[in-house]
Amino acid sequence: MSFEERNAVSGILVSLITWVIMLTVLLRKSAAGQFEGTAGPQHWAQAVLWLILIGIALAIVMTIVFNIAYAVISGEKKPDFLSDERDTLIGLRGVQATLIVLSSGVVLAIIALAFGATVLTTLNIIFAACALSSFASEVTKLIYYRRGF
Amino acid sequence: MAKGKITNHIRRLRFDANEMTQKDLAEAVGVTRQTIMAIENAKYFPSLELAFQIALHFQKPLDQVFQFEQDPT
Repeated sequence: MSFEERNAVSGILVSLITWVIMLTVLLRKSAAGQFEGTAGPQHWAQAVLWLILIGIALAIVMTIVFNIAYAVISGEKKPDFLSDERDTLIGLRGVQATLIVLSSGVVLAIIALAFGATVLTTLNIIFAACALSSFASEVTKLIYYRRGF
Repeated sequence: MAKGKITNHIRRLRFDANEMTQKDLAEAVGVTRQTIMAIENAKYFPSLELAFQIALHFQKPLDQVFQFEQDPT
């Protein structure tokens, strides 16, 4: 497994864990009524900013842990951190998947708003699209690594 | 554009070059071992630059390493 392929696998795990944490925190806060009223979107944004920071930290830690675990399991004495043209090409396919999911989410949010959804629902749709796009990117990359072109 | 299939003789060329490993070839041309493996298994088609580098490494013309078989239409 190449360095970038390992990153794709750890990226999927990070996306799933982050997704569960974000959903749990946001649903709990929403049930407690913290996002209601005129200051609701502001509280939502503050919660999401913290969750993004936690997500970034988690991604860094998980990538390091995953690479150490891989080195131990595979017995590689000198881990390979090389990235080549195939990785670049597969990375671009990942970006393509990100853009498709993200733009679909934004369009969906606009449609929801047009049909009377609240600002908070619209923000949640955009945020969910962001999280899903990251997941879609990593899954796409892994598919290309495994299946080829 | 005419469709076809790109094949290569990298595996045989490696064998002829003192049973060179995929890792050795990968290091020689500056890519990962997985990329050489993907090229050999026709799961990835290299850039022209990498194709030339591989051919140069084996000191063969490009068409003796990579072939293009056009689909009969």
